[in-house]
Amino acid sequence: MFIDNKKAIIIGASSGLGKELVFLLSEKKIDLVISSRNTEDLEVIAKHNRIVNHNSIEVIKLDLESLNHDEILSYVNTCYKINAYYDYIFITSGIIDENDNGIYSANVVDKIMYINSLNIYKIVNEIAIKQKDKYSNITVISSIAAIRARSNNMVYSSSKISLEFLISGLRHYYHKDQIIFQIYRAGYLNTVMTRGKKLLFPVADPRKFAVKIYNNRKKDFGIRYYPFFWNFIAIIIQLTPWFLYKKLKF
Amino acid sequence: MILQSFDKTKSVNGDIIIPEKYSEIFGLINNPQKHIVKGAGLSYCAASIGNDVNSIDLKYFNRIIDFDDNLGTIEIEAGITIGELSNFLLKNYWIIPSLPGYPSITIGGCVAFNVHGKSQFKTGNFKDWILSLKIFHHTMGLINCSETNNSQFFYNTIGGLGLTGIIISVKLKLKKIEGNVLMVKKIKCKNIKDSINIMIQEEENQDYIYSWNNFNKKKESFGSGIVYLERHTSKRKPIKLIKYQNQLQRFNYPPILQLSWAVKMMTYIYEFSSLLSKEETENSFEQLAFPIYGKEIYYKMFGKKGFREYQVILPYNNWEFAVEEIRDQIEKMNIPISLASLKIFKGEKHNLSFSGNGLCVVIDVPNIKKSELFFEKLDYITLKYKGIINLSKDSRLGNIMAHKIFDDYLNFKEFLFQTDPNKIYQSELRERLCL
Repeated sequence: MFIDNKKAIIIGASSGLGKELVFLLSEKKIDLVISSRNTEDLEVIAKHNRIVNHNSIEVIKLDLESLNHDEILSYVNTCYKINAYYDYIFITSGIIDENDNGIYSANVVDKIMYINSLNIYKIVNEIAIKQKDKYSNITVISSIAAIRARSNNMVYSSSKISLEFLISGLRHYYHKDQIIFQIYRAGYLNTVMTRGKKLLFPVADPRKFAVKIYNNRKKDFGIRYYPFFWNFIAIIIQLTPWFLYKKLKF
Repeated sequence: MILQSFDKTKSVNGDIIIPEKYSEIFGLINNPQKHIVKGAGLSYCAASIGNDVNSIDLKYFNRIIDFDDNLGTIEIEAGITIGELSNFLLKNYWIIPSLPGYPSITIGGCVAFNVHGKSQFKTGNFKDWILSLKIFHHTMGLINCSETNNSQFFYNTIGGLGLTGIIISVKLKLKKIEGNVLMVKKIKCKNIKDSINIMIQEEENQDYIYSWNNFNKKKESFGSGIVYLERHTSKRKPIKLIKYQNQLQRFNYPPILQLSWAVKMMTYIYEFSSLLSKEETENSFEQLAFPIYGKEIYYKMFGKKGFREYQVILPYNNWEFAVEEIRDQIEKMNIPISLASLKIFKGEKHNLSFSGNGLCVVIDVPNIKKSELFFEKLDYITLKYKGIINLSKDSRLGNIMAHKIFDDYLNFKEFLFQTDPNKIYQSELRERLCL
């Protein structure tokens, strides 16, 4: 088996794509620091992979909703006490809220913006400072919701486009350094977010997505859609004239 | 959505929920919605589905929590399949001693039905290898139980048809093997008595014994077929792990086995072709562990109408009379038998599970009109000779017969009444058995 012998941080590792990345990277014997709000699931995931794949996995609790600057620094410093550097940083965390339907609610706005965008940016910013002299990859997961604004999941879409801008800004800032910043606009994935919902397009397997992310880890492409067919859908959505777009319910 | 039992004889209108995090399971505390855990969905009866019931699929709870290579113990989540677990263990030359026939079956399902394998006479039922359980109960929360701790929960959850709570994790004792090579022997037998005699004679020397019998033959030839004997050796071959996939879920073949003549022809061809291959071979454990894997076509050939299976343990002291009555009934009703098989069973009866001492007889028939009447006749033979029926294979047995057959029926019902009076853990099986 090919052994990468590398180190990675995965934020949002307790379910969906993040969990699949933990399993995939563990199979490749990559040492991991994994984080999410609920460590109960993470501990089990870590135990399993230590037993089966014999890699090192450390669990650190991280609640992206309620983090001040000191807590962000503390989290990043804890990660860098475990390993002096990381080859890959994957941030897959994100939430949607069924009350995010166009009607203003301060709680919903703050929660979604902090979890999906602002606190991810702050963490990536701190990590980038530590990583800038080393070759590494920082990948964040955006969403097809960022293609064009709509009333449904309005704050969610805004948080994702905001995340894309912030990370793209960092990409520009660090373009002379060795950090690769990647952003994936994920289509529908077979996760708890989509289960039981009637969707217009097929859902993708998070495991296959994880494999794709891993295989692309050395490519400097900025933003990419997954699955690929969303490129075409995105063009159609962007080119749809307003008088038609405003009538769409999706 | 419409959900069906594996044998396709029962349909219900329920939902499937697939939690991925513990918080989603623990969130069911005090939830009034009726639910039941679904494993692989391969119980022949509707044990993990029900009308207006949420079936909770634990497929994401499939992780190994602890493994002690020195002591030979492992703790796993209930959603792990025996195929996945077996693959992990085999690399370290450990096996699950009581292994049912298909790799997609989950560990939770093995506990809920106290399953058995083709080595039952040597290794007992699944319960004999369980050290402890972790269960989530909708009013009591997390319960750790073993023979000495919360023993009532432990006793009733094993073979408890999934009705005592959500099994979260299971700690098992394992069996060490020296090598992964098995010596396999096939012995031709001229009738059912011949089969049974061979099986009893060989039980000391073998690790696995089972037979395939042709129950479509008449009189003295009734039950002719092949006895399969398998024995572990210390030889080691490179382990070739199989990436198991559940191929049993869809019935997408023309329903050839609904036709009597086709069933009979298939059994004759199978018997003839089985005798063409070598009598003694060496094969690896990983290739022999799951006898049904790779033979899914058999189930698919029943089509949408499905099939019925009757599995009974007949006590040793009177199996001969019982088998004669079964034979008479088959001949009298002219029922096509698509599969008949025998195993030797040893051990004590436990709860409503398929356990005890005796001869295990398996009979498959297509889901034709007279199959239900035929099974009713078999019920009376079972009752007369104090046999035990496998509830996981039976989609029609009612509460009156279950009460008569299982000594523990009332005790189990009382336990459920005390721990789950509102019947939050609900399934078609529970409803049918009035538990």
